[in-house]
Amino acid sequence: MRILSQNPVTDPSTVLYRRCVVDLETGTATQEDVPCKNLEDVLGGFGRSYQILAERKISEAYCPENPLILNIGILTGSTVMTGLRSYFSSYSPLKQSRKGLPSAMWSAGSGNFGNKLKWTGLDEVIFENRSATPVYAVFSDGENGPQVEIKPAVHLLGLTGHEKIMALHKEYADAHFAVIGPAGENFNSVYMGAIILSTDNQLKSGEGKSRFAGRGGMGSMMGYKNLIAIVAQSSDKMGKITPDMRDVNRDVIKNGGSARFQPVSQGGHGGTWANIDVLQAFHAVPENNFRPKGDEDVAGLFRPNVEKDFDVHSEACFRCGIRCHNNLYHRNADGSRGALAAKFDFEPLILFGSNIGINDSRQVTELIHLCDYLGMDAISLGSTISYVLDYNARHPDQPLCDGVAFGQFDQIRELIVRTGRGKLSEVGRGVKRLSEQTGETSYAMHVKGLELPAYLPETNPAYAFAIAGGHMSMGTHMYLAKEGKTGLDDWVEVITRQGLLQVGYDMIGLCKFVGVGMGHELISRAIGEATGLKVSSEEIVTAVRRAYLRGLALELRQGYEDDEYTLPGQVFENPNPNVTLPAFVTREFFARMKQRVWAIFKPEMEGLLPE
Amino acid sequence: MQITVKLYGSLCIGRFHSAVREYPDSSTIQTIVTDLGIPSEYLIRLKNGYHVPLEEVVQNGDTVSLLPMLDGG
Ligand code: SF4
Repeated sequence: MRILSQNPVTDPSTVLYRRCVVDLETGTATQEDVPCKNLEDVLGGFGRSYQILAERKISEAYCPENPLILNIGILTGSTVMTGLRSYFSSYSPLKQSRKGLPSAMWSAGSGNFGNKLKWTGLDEVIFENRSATPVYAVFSDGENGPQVEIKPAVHLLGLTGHEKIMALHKEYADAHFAVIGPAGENFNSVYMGAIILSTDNQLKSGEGKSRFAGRGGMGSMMGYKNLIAIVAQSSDKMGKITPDMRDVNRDVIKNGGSARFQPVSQGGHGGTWANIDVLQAFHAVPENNFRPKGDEDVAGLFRPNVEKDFDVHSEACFRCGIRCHNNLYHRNADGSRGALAAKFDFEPLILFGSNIGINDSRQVTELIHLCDYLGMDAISLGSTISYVLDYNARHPDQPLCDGVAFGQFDQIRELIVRTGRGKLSEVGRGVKRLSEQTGETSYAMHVKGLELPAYLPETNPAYAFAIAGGHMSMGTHMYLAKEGKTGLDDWVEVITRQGLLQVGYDMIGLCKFVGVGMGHELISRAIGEATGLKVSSEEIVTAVRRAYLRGLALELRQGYEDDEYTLPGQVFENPNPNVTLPAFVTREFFARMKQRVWAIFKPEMEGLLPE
Repeated sequence: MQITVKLYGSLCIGRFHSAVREYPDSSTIQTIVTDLGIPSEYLIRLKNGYHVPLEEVVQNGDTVSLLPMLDGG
């Protein structure tokens, strides 16, 4: 990125980012410095990529004209703590309007890949067309600027994501990697393929400690393009930490927002895993396809119980002091730490645990690990499997997938393997398509075609306004549990003000677990210190809001109709009496909420898309 | 007066899961939080199952639940 003046708001074109366009059909690449058009371009991530997607009219995801855009945020590769995110954007094979048009999507991941890409000198790569044969792309920092090579990747086919990363690591010692697993290779049967990102810990230990850009099937898009892996090769170019930047990083660690995700031993609450204790207090932990039973079965997944079987160790992405990862290790016979079992985050823990009727942590770790290795989005896969199990419980005489039932570990394991290897397209194409085939849609846990994360829809009517993943693009999933608010005014306010700003982290390159809102002075201070750019908190909030609304406008352009902005029918038709949080999401409430939110958003959305 | 206090997640560490404790009349949620040495920021506070502010006054026989305010990701 070249920065020629300090004011990106009045003069965004004085900030130029380095773009590389790779034509996979011809194997050629071109590069240019592109002047920014607005502050969203400057901040980066989906704020920039969505403007590129908006310029294209795409009617099916798997077509050569649908680009796969890899980019970073303005703070990726900087000395700001957690500044290491990379983003993948495209029209999604998974998320689709009823009209059959693919929705724009982005997916974000940590690891050290984003940093390395930045240090090659590139800010953005657009992959055009598709290769006739499997290839991987290598971006490196040459003497005269970034270099690109496209290489054959047949030798990588069939390997798990982790195996691909370790194979490439042997060849490129100073690089990091973004790869697909077998699921992405089988893109025609699997629309929920994830992109797997390498971490320093993984390369050093040889253990599968990857990070994932999972949502929306960006790994399947890579597979469609026959792009099996991306290598970012560079020496480490982390700048010197100035005294002011040290203060920024101290505030990242010390602010109460991030402290929540820090290890218990560090005085924190121990990462997202701890959500299970909080939600269970309200019997709001998803069980048996998002239908809490009002019992204590999930206690087997509470930390103290898991610690009886595993050695739990807090670890982190590159240079991150928040250390939110809870890695579970097997214990050797002598009590010492053995091999890695899995990483326990709230989402996979619940979606491969209580939500499919499994509360034994040893079994859950195995399923998480399998999903990760095969390279699927844990949320999409977990929520689709729970639908299959629920359907089978309702239709024992005509079940799906050989009649697999809640709690049947071996059969579920087999189902995951078959899905990831492309042998079970009814699961691999997601719950929306499957439920439309069966004709039973009310308990299919998706909104607008994207599976729900592990927070009950009856506690979050704002899922309807999430643009790229229920909890990653609308920060309201814990609002009811945290605040207890059920008023219409409260929900309209939280959606149209704070909730949508969640997406700002997917522009600037930082991790959401920094835990402050986009309007917090810490964000503008971090940008100022890392880049010299002067941009106020209000200006950042305005740009993030515009980027979100552009995403919403793009959904409408892809054919979404008003009645697709809804929740699974079960929420309205059959409220769950076991959940002790207030049941306030009636059809009437929801309709009035939507009407008021659209009345605020629609005038602001005008003019955000190209003609 | 007697208040049943329930703690969740990491708030239990070094404290307790559930205990009946004595507090003076006119105590508030803040009184209990301070007494237990829990930071009042990022805390979910329930009185008899309902969300309440820190200033909420408690009465003999109430149950107060304190939970860490987390987030997803
Ligand atoms: S907060 Fe967690 S996920 Fe985010 S950068 Fe730090 S260790 Fe990685």
